[in-house]
Amino acid sequence: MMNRKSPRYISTMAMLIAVALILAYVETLIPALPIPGAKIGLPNIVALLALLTLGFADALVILFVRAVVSSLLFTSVMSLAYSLAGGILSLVVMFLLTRMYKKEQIGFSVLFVSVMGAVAHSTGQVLVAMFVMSTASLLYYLPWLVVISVITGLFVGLVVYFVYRPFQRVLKSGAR
Amino acid sequence: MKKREIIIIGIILLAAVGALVFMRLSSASQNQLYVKITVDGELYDTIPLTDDLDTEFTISTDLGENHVVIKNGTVDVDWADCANQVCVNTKSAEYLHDTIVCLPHKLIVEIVDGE
Ligand SMILES: [Zn+2]
Repeated sequence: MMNRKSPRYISTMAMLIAVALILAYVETLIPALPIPGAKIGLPNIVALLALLTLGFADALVILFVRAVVSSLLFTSVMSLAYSLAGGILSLVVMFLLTRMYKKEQIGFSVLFVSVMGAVAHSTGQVLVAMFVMSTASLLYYLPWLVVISVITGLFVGLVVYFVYRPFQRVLKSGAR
Repeated sequence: MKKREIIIIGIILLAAVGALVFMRLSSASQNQLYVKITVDGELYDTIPLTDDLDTEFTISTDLGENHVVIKNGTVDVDWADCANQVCVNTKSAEYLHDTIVCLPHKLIVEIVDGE
């Protein structure tokens, strides 16, 4: 693990937050699906990558900063509750699942972790929305969101599958 | 991916699709359907949904405006001044439990049966 005060650590975190923000922005350019909360979840690529390479605490910091900044820049402050609830639940689920693997040998199982994270993300958002809107009828959206999550989760997992090793190599190169 | 992982994803998908099929089948209710509009958790209006009802109106609250069109037994939000436009993009509601929601405006338009 990197020393938290090292310039290397700080710049790695800053870079990951920047990439997550760019992905969050790109996602706002994609037309909204006709289902509330349905998104590709591009910033999840960074969340999962950070989880695999840096660990839970750093991934949580990146998620939090990204969610706050992107809600201020691109969406509304009200959407922050949804994105944080979904994001944190998803991160916790993915963290617990990645513990079952030797990270270096996770291989295609990263797709499984990503899908479960995406499903957790949708579930968290629906739960918060039900609470905010004080209605249970939003539950009818959950099956649609779960189906979409499986597809987007596979996509995000596939991206992480290809980026993980090169990224790991960059992190390790020159590390003392 | 291991076999077990593919099976777990399969079960989740199956459960979701099963829930969707069940919802659609159970929506074939013979009861009178109503359009129920809720704003910020409070009932705004309940309108019996009949094939010959043809009306449109604007729901305006502190949070913003949504324009609702009811005709041919379907309900649609065809205009709103919310940021994400999800409610406008949602296809019109027709069957029991179909729901159009505008999270930024805390608005829910749903189809319920008579009770
Ligand atoms: Zn809306």
